[in-house]
Amino acid sequence: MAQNEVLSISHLTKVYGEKKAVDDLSLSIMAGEIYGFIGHNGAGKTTTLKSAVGILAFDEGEILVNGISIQKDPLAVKREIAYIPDNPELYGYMSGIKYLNFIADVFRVPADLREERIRKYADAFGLTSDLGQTIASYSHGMKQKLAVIAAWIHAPKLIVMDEPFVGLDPKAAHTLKEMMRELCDEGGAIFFSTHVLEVAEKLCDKVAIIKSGKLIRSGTMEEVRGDESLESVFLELEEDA
Amino acid sequence: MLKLLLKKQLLESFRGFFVNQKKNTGRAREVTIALILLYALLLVGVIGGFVGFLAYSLCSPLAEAGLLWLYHAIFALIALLLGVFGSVFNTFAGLYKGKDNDLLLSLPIPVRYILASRLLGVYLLGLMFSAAVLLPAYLVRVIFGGFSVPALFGGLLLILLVSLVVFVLSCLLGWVVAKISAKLKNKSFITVFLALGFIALYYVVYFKGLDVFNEMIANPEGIDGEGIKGKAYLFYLLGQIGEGKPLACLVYSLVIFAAVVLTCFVLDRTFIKIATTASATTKKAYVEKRIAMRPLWLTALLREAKRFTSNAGYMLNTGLSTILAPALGIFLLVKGEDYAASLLAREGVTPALIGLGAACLICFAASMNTIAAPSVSLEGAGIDVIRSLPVPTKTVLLAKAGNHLLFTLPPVLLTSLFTVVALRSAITPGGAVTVFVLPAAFTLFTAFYDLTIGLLTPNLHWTNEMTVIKQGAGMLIAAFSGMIFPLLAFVAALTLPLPALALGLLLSGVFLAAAIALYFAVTTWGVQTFENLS
Repeated sequence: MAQNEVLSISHLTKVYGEKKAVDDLSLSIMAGEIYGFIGHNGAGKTTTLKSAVGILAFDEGEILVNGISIQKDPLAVKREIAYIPDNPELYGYMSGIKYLNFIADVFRVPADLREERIRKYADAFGLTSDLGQTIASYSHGMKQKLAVIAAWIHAPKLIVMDEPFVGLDPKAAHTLKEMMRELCDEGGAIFFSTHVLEVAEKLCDKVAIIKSGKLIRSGTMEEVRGDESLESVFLELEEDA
Repeated sequence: MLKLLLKKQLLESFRGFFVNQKKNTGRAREVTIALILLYALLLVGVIGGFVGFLAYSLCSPLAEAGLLWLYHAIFALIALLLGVFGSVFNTFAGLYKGKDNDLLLSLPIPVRYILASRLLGVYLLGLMFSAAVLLPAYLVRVIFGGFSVPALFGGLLLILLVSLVVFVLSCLLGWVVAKISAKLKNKSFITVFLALGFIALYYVVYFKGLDVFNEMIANPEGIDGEGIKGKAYLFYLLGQIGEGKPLACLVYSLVIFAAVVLTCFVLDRTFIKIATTASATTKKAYVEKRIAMRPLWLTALLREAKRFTSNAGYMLNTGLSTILAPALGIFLLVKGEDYAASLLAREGVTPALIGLGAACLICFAASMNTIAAPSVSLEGAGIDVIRSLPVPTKTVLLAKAGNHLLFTLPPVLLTSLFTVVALRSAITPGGAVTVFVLPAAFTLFTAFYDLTIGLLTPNLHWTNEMTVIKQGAGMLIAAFSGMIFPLLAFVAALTLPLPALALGLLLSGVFLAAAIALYFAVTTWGVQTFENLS
């Protein structure tokens, strides 16, 4: 394992029935990196992300987080990471604050730290006054903000996000980008999927493009796009591959 | 960690007590307590009332004959029957299909804790049904048989053991359904048939057990335990638990605890794979066909029908009488004439009364269909989709009632036909009319009654659809109160000084009038309510 390698995916293969959803995929993410993952619908992005966080068992390959195998010690890995699915299923019957406390309890975040982080992030998203309401009364964007705060509450080393900007208003999207950069500046790493190529282009240090389960290009933004825009490269690769 | 999950699970199962689901706000503590008391009262009042009446009639003679073990054994079997029936259909979705699978599995929570918290939900449901039978039975036993410490211990142990057997049976069926449904197409129907097969097998064993009891009662020699051998000895031991006899308590406890451990072991080893395995799907090539435009009402009705038939849990928990009612009709075709003859031999029983009784029996069978009750809550977060379409809300709601009728009225009428054929020599033409008209009017009434209950108790924010199909307050009210109406009708038939035909028509008229009143309520107040749900 390379030094400061937060996530290492080697030869990942996941099969559903007869279909290879992910086919021999390898990539690695270093501390301090925001890593974008792009591909068309059904390309295998979510399967890769879910495998990386231990939700899905896979057929071949190895996934290490900070050197720990997700297969051999899933709990140790999960303590280090956070995951935000594309459509977070939050408990509608809980209030926002109860949900955050539930997640903080799971991660054993001390009371003073959780209070500080909840205040910081809820204020940043303008969600503080709504934390007493049940989640069922939240809009989609509010639920997304809550899911983001919950992901950040234990200061994870790696945050894996599936389409995190969907549903966020421009201000909240800006706040999230700042939070992502701040986490990486502190030595963490972000691995996220997106269809918004402009966001990937401006935000990511590295990017990977997946098609039909196979990684067709990856590297730093400059390596992947060269002199063109990411959108042009993506569309060309989609047609060629 | 486990405590956290258990708390969450309990909150989820009983959220209606803590959260006002119309306003999405927390309830005041007093309201929560009042609701819990009301719920307990309903459960104890309905099930406990039936059981208490039966226990009252059995306990005294059996206690005098020194056969309290038989009393306990009978109620243990009834509790098993109700417990299995009440919880078995819930398990597959409850254990494996939570919408929060991704969230929980991404957190540093041991998988067995997630499983344990969900198993608690399964166990509590079984315990609730088992205790609703055994507690009243035990109280009656104390009144007639006197209090003793061993009997108190035995009574409590019997509740625990029966609830654990229900738990094991539910979990095993859920596991088998999960293993099979992952590999098959048309899994909803296969799940339904598998579950019904399981229930049928269970009933065969259950009724064989009852036959053994009947045999023993018919031949009382050796019924004190000394002469009981073979299969009957197991039943004898089962009853002995209720009296706190050490051997019975020990044997049954060891066997049942071993079964629980084995079940938990199997579930633990397979849970993660089942919970995260996508079901087998085969890609079906699209073939373009000429599509006819359907009227709006039919489109809305087919939407409801598709939702119903694509969900095994929905079908099993709310649509059993679609199969059981005709099964009753077939049973009557075989045995009905004999029963009618023996009833007619009794004083005061007339052919017209038999017709009315049969009609009430069909109504009782029909009352097991509560398809419309969870249909509002099942809209879930997707309710905005239907509300955004140019479909009048009235059409949406009538489709829900229509779906109930679609799957209830034809089998009920078929059952009526079977019944009339079976009892043709025992009932009058007027009785035959009642056999058709009363169940049809009752079915119409239940369609709108259940829909009204669904509108009164909405819950769009469920984590698992079984929460609203099985555990919702609306479902409980619809299921239990639906059964009371036919019983009240029959009591009215026995007590009101009217000719049976007139009574049948009067009761039909009452149900029809109530259905019409509820139709107007649904299409006015109901429309407003549905449009304002959030």
